[in-house]
Amino acid sequence: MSGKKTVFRAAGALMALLFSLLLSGCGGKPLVEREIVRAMFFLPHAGGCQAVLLLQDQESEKPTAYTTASGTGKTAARALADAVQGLPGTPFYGVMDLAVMPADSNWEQLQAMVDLIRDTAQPSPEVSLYLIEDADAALLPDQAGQMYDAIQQCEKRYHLQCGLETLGQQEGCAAIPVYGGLPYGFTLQTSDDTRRQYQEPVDAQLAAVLCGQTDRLDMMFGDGAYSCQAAARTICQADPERLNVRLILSDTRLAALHEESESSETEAISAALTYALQQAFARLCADAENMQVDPYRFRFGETGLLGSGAPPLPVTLQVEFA
Amino acid sequence: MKENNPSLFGALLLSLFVRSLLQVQAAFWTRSGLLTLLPGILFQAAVGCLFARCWRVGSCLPLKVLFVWVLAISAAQDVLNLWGLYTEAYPDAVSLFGICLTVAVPVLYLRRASALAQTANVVLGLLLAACALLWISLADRLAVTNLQTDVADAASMGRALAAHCTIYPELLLPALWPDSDKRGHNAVLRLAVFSGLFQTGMHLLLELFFGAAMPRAWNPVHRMARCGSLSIFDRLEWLQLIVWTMAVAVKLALCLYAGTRLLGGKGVNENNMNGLPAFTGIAAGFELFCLLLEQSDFTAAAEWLVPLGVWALVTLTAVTGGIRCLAKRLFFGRRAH
Amino acid sequence: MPEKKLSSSLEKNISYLNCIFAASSDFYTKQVTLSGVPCAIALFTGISSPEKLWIMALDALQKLDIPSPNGDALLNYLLTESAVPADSSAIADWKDLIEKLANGMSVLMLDGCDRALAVSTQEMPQRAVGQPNGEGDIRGSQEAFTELLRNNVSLLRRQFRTETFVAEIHTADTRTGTEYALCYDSEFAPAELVAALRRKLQAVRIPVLLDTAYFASFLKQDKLNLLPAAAYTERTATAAARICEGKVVILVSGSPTAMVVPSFFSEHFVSLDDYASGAVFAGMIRILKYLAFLLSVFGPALYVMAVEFAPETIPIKLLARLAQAEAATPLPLVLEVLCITLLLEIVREAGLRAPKSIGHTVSLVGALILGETAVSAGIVSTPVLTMAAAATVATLAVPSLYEQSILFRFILILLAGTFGLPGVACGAVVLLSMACGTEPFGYNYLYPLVPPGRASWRDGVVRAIWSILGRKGYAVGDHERK
Repeated sequence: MSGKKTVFRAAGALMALLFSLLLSGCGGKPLVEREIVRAMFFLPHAGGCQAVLLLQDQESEKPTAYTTASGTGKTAARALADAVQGLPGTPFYGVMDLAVMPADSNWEQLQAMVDLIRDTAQPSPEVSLYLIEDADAALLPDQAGQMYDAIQQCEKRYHLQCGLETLGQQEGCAAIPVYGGLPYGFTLQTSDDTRRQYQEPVDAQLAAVLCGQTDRLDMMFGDGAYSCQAAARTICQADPERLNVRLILSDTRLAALHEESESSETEAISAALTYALQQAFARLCADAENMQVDPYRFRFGETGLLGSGAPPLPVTLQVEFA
Repeated sequence: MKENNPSLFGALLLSLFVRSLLQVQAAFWTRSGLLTLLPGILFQAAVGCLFARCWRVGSCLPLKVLFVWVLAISAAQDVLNLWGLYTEAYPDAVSLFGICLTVAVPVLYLRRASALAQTANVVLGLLLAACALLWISLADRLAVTNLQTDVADAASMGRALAAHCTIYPELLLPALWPDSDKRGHNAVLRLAVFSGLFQTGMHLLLELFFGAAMPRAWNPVHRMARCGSLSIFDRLEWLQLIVWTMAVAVKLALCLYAGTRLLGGKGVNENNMNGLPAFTGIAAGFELFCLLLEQSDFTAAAEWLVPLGVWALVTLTAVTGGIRCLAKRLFFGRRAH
Repeated sequence: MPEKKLSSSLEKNISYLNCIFAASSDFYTKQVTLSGVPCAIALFTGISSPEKLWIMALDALQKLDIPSPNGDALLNYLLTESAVPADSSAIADWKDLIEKLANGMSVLMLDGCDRALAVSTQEMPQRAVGQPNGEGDIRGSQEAFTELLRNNVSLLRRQFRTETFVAEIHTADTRTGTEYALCYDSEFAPAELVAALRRKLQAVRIPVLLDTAYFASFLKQDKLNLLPAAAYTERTATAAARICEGKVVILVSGSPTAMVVPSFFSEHFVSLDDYASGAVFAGMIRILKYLAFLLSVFGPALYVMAVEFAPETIPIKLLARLAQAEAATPLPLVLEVLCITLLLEIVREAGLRAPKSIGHTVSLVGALILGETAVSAGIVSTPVLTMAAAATVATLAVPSLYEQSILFRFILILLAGTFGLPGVACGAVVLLSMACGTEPFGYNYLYPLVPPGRASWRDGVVRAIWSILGRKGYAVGDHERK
């Protein structure tokens, strides 16, 4: 008798479970109904904003075949909603890995766009942030695919890594790479919209290294007379008189590019590189001081040594070849 | 090989860790957290021990009902938080009913203390492995320079102390298993230590990753996981969510087990299996409870409802226990005279 | 069955026997006179040999010369003084007599005596000791159990040259009165375990007992638990090894499979070859088996989850291909995976049950034609077929958990298809809690894997070299003896 009861109870529980499964209201979405977004571009457009979504072409077997969808609106959010509305399926942001924003955006716009990307791109992927200049933006809707591939190559070549989270790591200051062809540029922007953009490869790449966004230098210097490829890392050492930033270059490949270069000996090129880096470092420090921000976190080392509230120490760069 | 007295310490620890991952995030800067860790631990341990002592002499039906209510609210809060994470990560894919069902069904197999203890230990191991993986996979994106240098002021210390001194229902649960075999020696103190260290460790990770933006980030642990700066982690975000869901299921089982013990169900006799129909009924009731709570703005209300319930329980138990103890002494004192 | 006593009248006894076995053509009785006492011999031809009886007993019996012969005196003489290979105790009731007859013995009834004598003249038709069918091992003994209980016990006895080996034979409470044996090492097997097992098996009431597995459900603590409560083996060497670990081996008459109690989860991933091959290789194979089990249970479910709910887990190059494959098939993914898995199970079942001559053809037709044509017709996609086939092949790496793998796989596919990530989490916790809650006779089912310790590395996840293994083996009752 009790056995029968147990069987009935088990059957009842099983039926209840099956009904629950049916009525759970959960459900996935087939891949064919999804529009796979690879990148998101925001561009200025007639006083508002244009959003371009770079989509994976699911009819092509090539992973580098893309289509685009674009929309416009007063704000980035509206533009994105407009772009999504035109899509036949549901956008899927899970493999999106690039977000590009206009270089002339103010602080608020920048924050709004980053928040929008963070909240929209679910489940959030590894998104890299880049800025582009207006001139490049005009051509973008037609060349989004090519630009995407080019930025990917740039990231690979320069080991560049600027994720969404980097924007808020420093209070009131953002450090973002700018893409306008190779090599990349670099922008520092503060919350009061003071902006300093570096297009010179030495400045831009040194800034990226100091911000921790890359561990590689790959550039020409000395007015295009020399080239340098090296792995780079920094160590900050503070003493009561100064803060010394050691830039350690390893696996360095230096070359003279022109026959008329003054000297093709390695020592000479190294000296030229050191000089170029010192000059760039001085410019970067001066700009940071003028902007009253600490994008390279020099204050961290100082506070560790002297405690908070101490006056800032002079910062020097020491280039070492390992 | 043969375990006659399974310890539920792992289950309690798991419950506290899940709470840290799902609820208590970005409450303080690491430096303030480290400075206030010791007083926080001592406070938690003192309150837990006081409660355990008073519960032995002062427990009565209204207090038991209050305890069950606190456990139910706390479990519901976890389920709703988990659902919140899922709706954020996979919008329109999972309903609250689905989440409730998926965390309630495993409970059917966790009706015995030994099964619960063993499963909790394994899930705890998986959770710690997942956290270690989180550290490893984010390693090259963690910057020491992101640590905030000028934040150890009074307000920051106060926030950290408040976070460390919060009493969670899990810290009160060891009182239900008075024999030390069930919970291990100094269970409350060990729980407070591990919980404090885990919480501070997670805050350190968050600060290294987010830097100044940490307090502004909502649900930062998951956001960090989702941000996935490292491609390998990006691919493993789902694994984190799965492990968290498993942990919530085990925590729910622990709450139901404690609830059945409190209300005098079949599970009162230590390692006995709780009756299936009663357990199924309770699990179904819990689902309905969650669905009802979804209608109201419960997530915000739970922020103060759980601490209020816990403190009410602790205070009432202390008062009842104190009165009974006093009455006993007076009574026995007179008889002795 | 009447439990009444035998009569002292030979005529009455013979007529009673004729009455109950009259319809059985293999029943044979013959009346003889021994030392002047009228006697009767009864036996079943086919399981007992009249020739043996003649050679061993009757010839000697006829030459007996007992003073003042009567039934009782003759029986006592045969029991205590004669060299006739008779049973040590006399038969007093009909139940015992019929049992002895059914066991292939010849029964000698004597006039004027209310007891009878059983003589061992068994000659059972039996299968020769062969190789095991389901447990493929290259090294070690290739001997397998057969259907005869006593032969099986003797096969085990041969492995133990110690006094501690015990083989208790009991009769199950079934309509057929099937015998079963509890074999254990009295030194290693915990007395509490043996007593509990004996008690549980004696309480079992079922109409028939054709295999050891019939006992399994009676030994389970939680009937909702799908994991096996016991392990099975056809190999005598494996059974002997388990006995050395302090476990109890149950043998049932008519079944060539031995049941091992208590059994632990890790045992399903261990084979005899592990101990014969090198430790490193054996460890690698064990890890592969664990991975294969995980693949067989979770593989298709994770595939469904990834494609339907979490495509971000799939690399972009593969994602594009999967999308194209999915677009070309009409069924929803969950249904497609379920159908393919079911189809593979049907092919397997058909190949297994069909006569051997066409079994291979069935498998070939199923695997090649169904798979190939289904893909080319666009009914199923290649990735789904690949995943389902990989899971099915992986299942065969751990054959003792075949039933569980299939059941869990179906459950997980359904859960993953309905709920996505939380569904897989739910399945994982259910599976884990089943394993943690199995507790055969109070022992930790996940030992030595959980909690992880020295034992896990000695002979659990991997196995240590023999010099370490030999230093300290383990037995289930170790902690109780301490």
